[in-house]
Amino acid sequence: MKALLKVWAQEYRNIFSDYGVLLIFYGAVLFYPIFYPIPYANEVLKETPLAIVDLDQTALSRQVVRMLDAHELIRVASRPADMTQAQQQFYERKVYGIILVPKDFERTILRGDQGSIVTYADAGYFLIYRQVATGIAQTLGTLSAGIQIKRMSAQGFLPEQAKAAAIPLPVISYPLFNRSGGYASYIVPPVLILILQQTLLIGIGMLGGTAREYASPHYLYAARDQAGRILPLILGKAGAYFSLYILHSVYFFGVLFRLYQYPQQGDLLVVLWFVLPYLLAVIFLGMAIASLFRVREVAIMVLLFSSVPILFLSGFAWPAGSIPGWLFAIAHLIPSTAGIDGFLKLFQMGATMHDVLGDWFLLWGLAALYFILAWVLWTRLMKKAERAG
Amino acid sequence: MAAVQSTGIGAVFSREIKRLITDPIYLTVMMGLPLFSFALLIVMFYAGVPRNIPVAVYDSDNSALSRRITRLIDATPSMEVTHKVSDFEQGRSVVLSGACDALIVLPRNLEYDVLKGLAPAVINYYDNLYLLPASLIFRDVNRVVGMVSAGISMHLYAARGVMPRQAIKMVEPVKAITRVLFNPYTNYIYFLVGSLLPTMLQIFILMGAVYCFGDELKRGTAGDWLEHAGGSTWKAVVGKALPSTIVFFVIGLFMNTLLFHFLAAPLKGSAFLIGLALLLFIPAYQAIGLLMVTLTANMRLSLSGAAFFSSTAFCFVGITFPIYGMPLPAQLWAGILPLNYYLKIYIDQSMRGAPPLQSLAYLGALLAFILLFVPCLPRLHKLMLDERYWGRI
Repeated sequence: MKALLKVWAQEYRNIFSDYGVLLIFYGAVLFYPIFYPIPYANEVLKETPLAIVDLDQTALSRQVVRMLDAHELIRVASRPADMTQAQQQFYERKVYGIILVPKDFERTILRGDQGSIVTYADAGYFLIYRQVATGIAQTLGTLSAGIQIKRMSAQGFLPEQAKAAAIPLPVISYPLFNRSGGYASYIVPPVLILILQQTLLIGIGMLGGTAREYASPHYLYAARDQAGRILPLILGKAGAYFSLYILHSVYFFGVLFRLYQYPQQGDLLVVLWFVLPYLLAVIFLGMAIASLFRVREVAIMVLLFSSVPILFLSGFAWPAGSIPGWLFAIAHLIPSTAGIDGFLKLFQMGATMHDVLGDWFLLWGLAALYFILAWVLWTRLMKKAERAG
Repeated sequence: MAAVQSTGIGAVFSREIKRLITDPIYLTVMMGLPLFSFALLIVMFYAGVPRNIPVAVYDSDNSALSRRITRLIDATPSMEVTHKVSDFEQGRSVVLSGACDALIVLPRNLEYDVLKGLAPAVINYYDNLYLLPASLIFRDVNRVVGMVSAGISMHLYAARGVMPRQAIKMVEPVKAITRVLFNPYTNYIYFLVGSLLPTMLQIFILMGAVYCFGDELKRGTAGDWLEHAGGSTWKAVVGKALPSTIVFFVIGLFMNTLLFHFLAAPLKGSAFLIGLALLLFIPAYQAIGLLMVTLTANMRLSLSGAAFFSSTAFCFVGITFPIYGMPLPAQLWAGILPLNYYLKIYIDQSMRGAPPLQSLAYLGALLAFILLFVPCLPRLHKLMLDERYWGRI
């Protein structure tokens, strides 16, 4: 126990005397969550600029233009004379979609026939596509329904009947959990979970690499005192990391979430109870990996890139069902996969601890697995060091 | 230290090759990890469009109509009815447990009320935390029910003696036709993977550049480096950067081969322009790496800076959330990311088939980043000679 506390205290000294590590443990943890959500500050993408080619030039076609412009998701940014000009503006990224009102549009409608309006949309940028498609579909739906009800009245329907007969089976959509569909509320919470993991892994790796690179004995410090016992060494260090990161968790979920006003339903204490095995799993994984690094820079160089694939692998940004099963199974070896899943359910969907027990036990399992792995790798490392001198 | 035999770019070049081969970090960061990350992302997104998203249906009507709606939802490529629940609570818990992404409620007396003209609603509760499946569910539930609704409309008209031909015009007086300009299969793989692979690459180029320049200071070999260049700082920089430029260019060409041949991404514009963009993209990041090392004269600071600059880049380049929707500071930040310009050229020339002229401005921007290395030279020269800057980790 004494050895454990000694390692624990020594690890604080190692952390706070190395500002490269501090940049990761504190700089990144404090700065990323502020910087990262900036692009999404507006939450919902509105007023996507469109070009309208109005070949009809009638009262009705001008009404269409006005109605489209009035929709909050889209904006009529230009009214080019023909498609060639519209396409040019599209290539210049001045507009992100083109609407064509064909000649004789009004005449067709007045004749009682079916008129058409053509949208050319870019399906590459999927969020833009969705907003443009929704904005246009809703506007034209309104336009169409208005004309329909007029025609039905002409056929002798009463206004109420006309409405019911126009849309006899409406759909009411209730978005759950992220009601406004805000982009920041969508992407930032899981990224915060990921930041906890990635900074821990890199920071621990950096400490380990530094110790190896500069042959500092502190890595094996207490172990020698205790005649080969590695347990106080691992637990002491883990205790130091854990104490820092449980505070970070409180800052993230207690402070930042309120500051950003993200949808939040869970209780902070319950979330921390869930975060407990998550942090332990990450810490032991970090310690296991750190034993492989000989130079301090390796940790950041090797681990940094993994953030992007890991976020997609967690089944969050890309639906789990579309990731090959074997890959998704392997992804569960990474603590953030279960961590993000359970956290979102607990904190944002308002699930109870009971609903996320699967994730919680998995995280405990990973913590145990990586603890054993760290133990094995460090024992090997220590024997090697003893042989070397 | 033995006197250096020949000096100049060639000497620095071969000295750098020796460093690359003997330090496993270079090989890992320049070849192993980029290839690994490419493989990982391609395997992950290979399925293309998400299919068969699990949804639950609570059918409390159990009529011919409600069963038809359930079947139609199940028949969409995007959704699969995996759970038929018998009460609302059960439906709620399947969504909460993550087993389903939506609960579609078909209320009691649905069929009866529809035929009476009471316009009862189908209710779609969908999990909007996961935006991608949410948007597919939203779109397709509306489409399926809208189709059924239009069919019922026709019946109602027919019941009142409206002729079918006339009824069609009444149900949909304005037909909305959507032509997808690019990416007609709405397949995300070209778009997403095509942007993610260069995103990965820029992380490795920048980190590699910072490590390779910073390492000379950290290990105190900067003097030797300058000596090989015959005292010329620009020769030292060019000779040292060139081997990595070549390796990353080969990796980048391989990346584009994967995209255009293996994944069969569309190539409507100029392959030459994409190649040229790649050729500028790499030294652009190397120059930024050099700038970071020169400014900080410190490995850990510049490495942290590089990590920050490269790992956050993807959020700012407008692939997921477009740049015009961002607040001004984010738009400005996007302007200083070479990745932003490279991806614009890639999208213009692969998917959009934009006129080549359109890409010239972006190429110019990439070139401007490369020129950043020029103002670094005087200070770098000082750092290389002054031992006080050596050995800082």
